[in-house]
Amino acid sequence: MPPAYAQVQATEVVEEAPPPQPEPQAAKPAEPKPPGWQPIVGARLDGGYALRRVFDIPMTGADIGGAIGAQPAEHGAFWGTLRGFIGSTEAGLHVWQLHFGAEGEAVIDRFRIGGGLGLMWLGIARITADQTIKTWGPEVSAHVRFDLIQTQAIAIYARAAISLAYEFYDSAKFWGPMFGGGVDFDLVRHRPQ
Amino acid sequence: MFVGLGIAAALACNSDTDDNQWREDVLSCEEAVAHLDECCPGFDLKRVQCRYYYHIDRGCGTDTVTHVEPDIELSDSHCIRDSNCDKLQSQGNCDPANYSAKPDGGRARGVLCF
Repeated sequence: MPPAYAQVQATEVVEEAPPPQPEPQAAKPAEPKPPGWQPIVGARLDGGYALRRVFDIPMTGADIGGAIGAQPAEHGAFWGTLRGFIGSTEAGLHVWQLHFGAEGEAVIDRFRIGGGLGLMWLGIARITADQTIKTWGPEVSAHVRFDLIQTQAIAIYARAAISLAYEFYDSAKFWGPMFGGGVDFDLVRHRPQ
Repeated sequence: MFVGLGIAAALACNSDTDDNQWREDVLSCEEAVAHLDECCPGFDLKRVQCRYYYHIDRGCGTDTVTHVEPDIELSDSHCIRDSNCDKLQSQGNCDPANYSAKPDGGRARGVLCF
């Protein structure tokens, strides 16, 4: 039987060398993390040709509006709006409408679809007297928008909308579509290209 | 007791007024007059009244009602609006005297529309 120290020596002999450590590599630069959505604050102006009807009286005119709003998420935006309609009935009575309210919209790339809610004031000028017959009530609307041109700070778009107002005095509906376009300015933070 | 009598008197002798002009018959009348103005040269707009008014004093003995309707009633205003100028002229609808009450209180001819 070999002596104990010989065993120790043998063990030391068979002991394998530790595997070579991989040479330290040069540290790779960290890949830039894609930035999260940063809210955009903007304003927009739009207008177009509008058709309206109350009772069975048809009207045509211009629907123009302005809004200030924000896009807090990539796929959602909301606006505070002020709109006006100026037009006339088929036989020429002057008609105006003022609306203020709020809109929300889903944003899908260049396309937006949304709706709004607000209050409106409506007036139709008499022809038999120097007076305007006025009323007021709530109004709902739906719209679609397509951005024709997008730059870093401005979008030029086509817009179609339909609105429906209910007036309180005679429970009549004042409604109709509009077709037009507008421009959207970013006021704070420009949209990513 | 006097307060109770006062309330009872107020309830018994009240009045009610509807002077709201946002009505289909009023607006349709205005639209019809605007169409007559387009079709009838020299048509005197001010001789036609498109006004609604209703007032009632009730309770104290008798009811007193004041009621004004537009000179052109709803069905007639529809007819005017649906007629072209030639038709309105040929039917004699271009005379504003047709729509307003006569000076002697007689009934207006109204609209001839067929």
